Amino acid sequence: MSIVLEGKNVTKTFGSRGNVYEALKGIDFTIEEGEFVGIMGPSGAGKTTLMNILSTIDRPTDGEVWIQGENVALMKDKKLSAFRRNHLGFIFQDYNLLDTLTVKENILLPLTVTKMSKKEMEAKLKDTATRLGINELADKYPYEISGGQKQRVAAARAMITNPAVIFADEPTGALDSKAASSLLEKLSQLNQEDRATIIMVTHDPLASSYCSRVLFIKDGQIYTELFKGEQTRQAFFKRIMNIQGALGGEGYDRI
Amino acid sequence: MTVFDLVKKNMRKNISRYSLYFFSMIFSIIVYYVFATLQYDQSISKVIGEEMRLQGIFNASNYVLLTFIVVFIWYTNSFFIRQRKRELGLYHLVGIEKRTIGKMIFYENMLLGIFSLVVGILLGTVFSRLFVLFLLKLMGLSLSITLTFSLQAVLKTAVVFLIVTVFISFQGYFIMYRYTLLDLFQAESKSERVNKMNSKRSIVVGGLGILLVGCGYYLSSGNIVTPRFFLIVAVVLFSVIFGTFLLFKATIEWLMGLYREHASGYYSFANILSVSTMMYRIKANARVLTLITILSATTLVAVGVTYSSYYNTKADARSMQPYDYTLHSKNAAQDFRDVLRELDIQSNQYVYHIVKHSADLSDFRFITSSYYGDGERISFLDEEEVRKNGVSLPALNANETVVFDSMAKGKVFKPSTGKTAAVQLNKSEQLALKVIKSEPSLILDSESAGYQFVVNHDTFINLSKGGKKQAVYVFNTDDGNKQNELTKNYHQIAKEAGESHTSYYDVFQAGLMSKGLFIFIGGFLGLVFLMATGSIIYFKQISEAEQERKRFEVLRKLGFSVSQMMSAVRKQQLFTFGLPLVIGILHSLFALKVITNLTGESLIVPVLIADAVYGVIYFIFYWLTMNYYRMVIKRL
Repeated sequence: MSIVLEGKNVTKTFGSRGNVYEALKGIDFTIEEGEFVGIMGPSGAGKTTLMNILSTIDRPTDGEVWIQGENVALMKDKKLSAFRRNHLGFIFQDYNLLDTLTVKENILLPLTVTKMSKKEMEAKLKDTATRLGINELADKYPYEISGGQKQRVAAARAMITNPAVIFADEPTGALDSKAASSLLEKLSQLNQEDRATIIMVTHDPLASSYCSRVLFIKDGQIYTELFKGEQTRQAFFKRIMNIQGALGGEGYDRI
Repeated sequence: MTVFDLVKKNMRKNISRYSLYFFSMIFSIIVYYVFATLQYDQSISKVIGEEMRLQGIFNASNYVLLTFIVVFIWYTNSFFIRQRKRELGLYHLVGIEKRTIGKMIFYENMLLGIFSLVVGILLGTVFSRLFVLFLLKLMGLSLSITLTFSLQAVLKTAVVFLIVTVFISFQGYFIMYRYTLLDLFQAESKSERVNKMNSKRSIVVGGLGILLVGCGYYLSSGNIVTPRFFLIVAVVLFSVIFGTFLLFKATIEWLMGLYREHASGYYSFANILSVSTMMYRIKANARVLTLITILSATTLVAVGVTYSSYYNTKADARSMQPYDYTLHSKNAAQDFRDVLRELDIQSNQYVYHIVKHSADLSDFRFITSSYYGDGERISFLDEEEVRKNGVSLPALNANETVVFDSMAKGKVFKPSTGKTAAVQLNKSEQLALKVIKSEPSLILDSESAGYQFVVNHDTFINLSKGGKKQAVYVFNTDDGNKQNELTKNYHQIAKEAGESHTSYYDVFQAGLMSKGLFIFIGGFLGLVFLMATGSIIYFKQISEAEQERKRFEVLRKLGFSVSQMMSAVRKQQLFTFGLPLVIGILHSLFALKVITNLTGESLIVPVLIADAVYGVIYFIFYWLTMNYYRMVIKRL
């Protein structure tokens, strides 16, 4: 299996001389094609910083991030935005759908700067929307649909370019438990059926139990990782809870 | 910390936000101050003093300007306050009393007002001359305006703006009492939702918009000179203005919706983003866009009319005074000939013999019968003599006539061809003269000859028995540099002979002065209107840019580049700025066409020039807006 994303000694410091805060202290890891990786950890552990760096929204202070054989840490801004558009997909906690666009337009947005014909776009849209179960929402506006539906639209937008990696930042954070599990099921379905590589930051053990692997981060370093393997989701969930308990104590997110 | 400290701190920290409001205040003050200075200026009152009409125009313009500036300041102030609602809400939330916050806003506004008043008057004093010179240059006028500092103007400006400032400050004081805390916090996030296209309704309302504007155009291009003139004008104004409003409220959205559904090129990033944003905004902006369209149209009509009247000064003067110099006695004419010889000026000289005789013109256009009722204002000329003097005429029978009537050009004053003038020659004899042709010009100036009928030689002899005979001596001279001296001599001679004494050059010069001032005021107001409309759109657009910041952030995260986002913004802004301008110009062209129909004067060249200048200055605001957007997007 090929490596899609590789981080080498990823370091990030904030602040200037005298008052330096080290958010990431040289993290090394690889993510292979078709993995569904969860990143967990207490608040302040550096989850979001790591996510921003991996997804090229932020740059590391030191270290390398290789995505599909390119070191994105050194890429120029202009090239980077094109790279982001073509190879990465994003799902945010607060959906970030454009409220002036219909569902269909929101999903097609990343394709609008490509030379793709209208017919091809429609075909892709139909395919993606069907898999996420939002086909009948195409002509609605974001304010007309529920949070869970919005997040599925966001997932469809992330999917439509067939990205190398999809980044999901707390995708269930704003959803009720039913909508959350329905979304997670869709994501894991995409992961298994389409071999989509997904990296998801979450603080919810239930959400991460859908993953194939979970990375735990504490104080800017990788604390441990868990593989799901052949065990059931329930069993995996219990192991995640155990680690979290060990990590836990003070400073852990109170939900 | 006292309220005053808070005010000071606030103003220092938010300087950029305040500066926009500050600049529009200063702009208004400068404009008003310059206008007030003009009004009290000696060189201008000299021109005005001779003409009551100009005085009226000046006063009316003063009120228009004042009203406009007050509305403009009020608009920018409420825009400014609206932007700060959240901040005010926060003060209230942390426990500052409404009364205290109200006081804070009151002080802020007073401080800003007084400060901008001082700055405005200072800048106005420094730049008013430059400004006036620039405006004169821009319009190619040769008016001599020497602006002098006027204490009266300062006082007037100060009083007016202090009143405005106090009023606005009080309004600010009460703002906290008008809103709940929730309102204050939702001010920014409360945005209009895209209403689903209810296709039936949007077709009806959108279609109605087009229909109303079309109806206004149609009505105005027909014959509007009827007894119901004012009713028609009112209907036209209403249907065009309301139609424009509906255009922005529904029609544009409807057409865009159609485009969104059917256009093949729609799925491009710039299209998808600009069209959807415009559809989202346009409904809420309908009132502002209508205002801007109507203001643009009004400005263009006003400037177009004044400019073209200036443009046509020469032709107008010539139509009033067909010959350069006119005298009415043999001796005076001889004296004038001597002067011409003395000054060595080439000239063409003609003599006309006219008969003043009363006639019944009740068959003619409505104004005629009463005005020309007494015989003094009706003249008969001899066909042979007129033809000999170089005026071409059709051959006339004994009971036929050609009327020379300079006003019969347009639709108001129709040519009198086919009408009959009844002349009572003596107790038993009556002559009915049939008008076979009506010329839209004069043979002699109306002071000498009034309403002019050319008749057959025999008829002329016949008429001269009962009427008052008169000889008119006219001169055309070479355009030379001795014109001033000649005019002086002419005045002298005419005065000694006890005659009225206006030469073509007098009329031309007077026209140049009064129309020059007229267009100067028109241009001045036009510029003010333009600056204000430009600012209004600019304010609106930059506040939208702020609201769209989050959208741009999302787009950036999704991997869209600055140039891709800017191309979408460009499309959107070109449309937002262009639409009111194009519709405004269209409205103004129709209005000007109506005026052309009425007066018969061609306005095309001056109007095109006015439109072009307007468009160029207007697009400076587009450019400013684009710069602001670029800054917002780049700074993400």
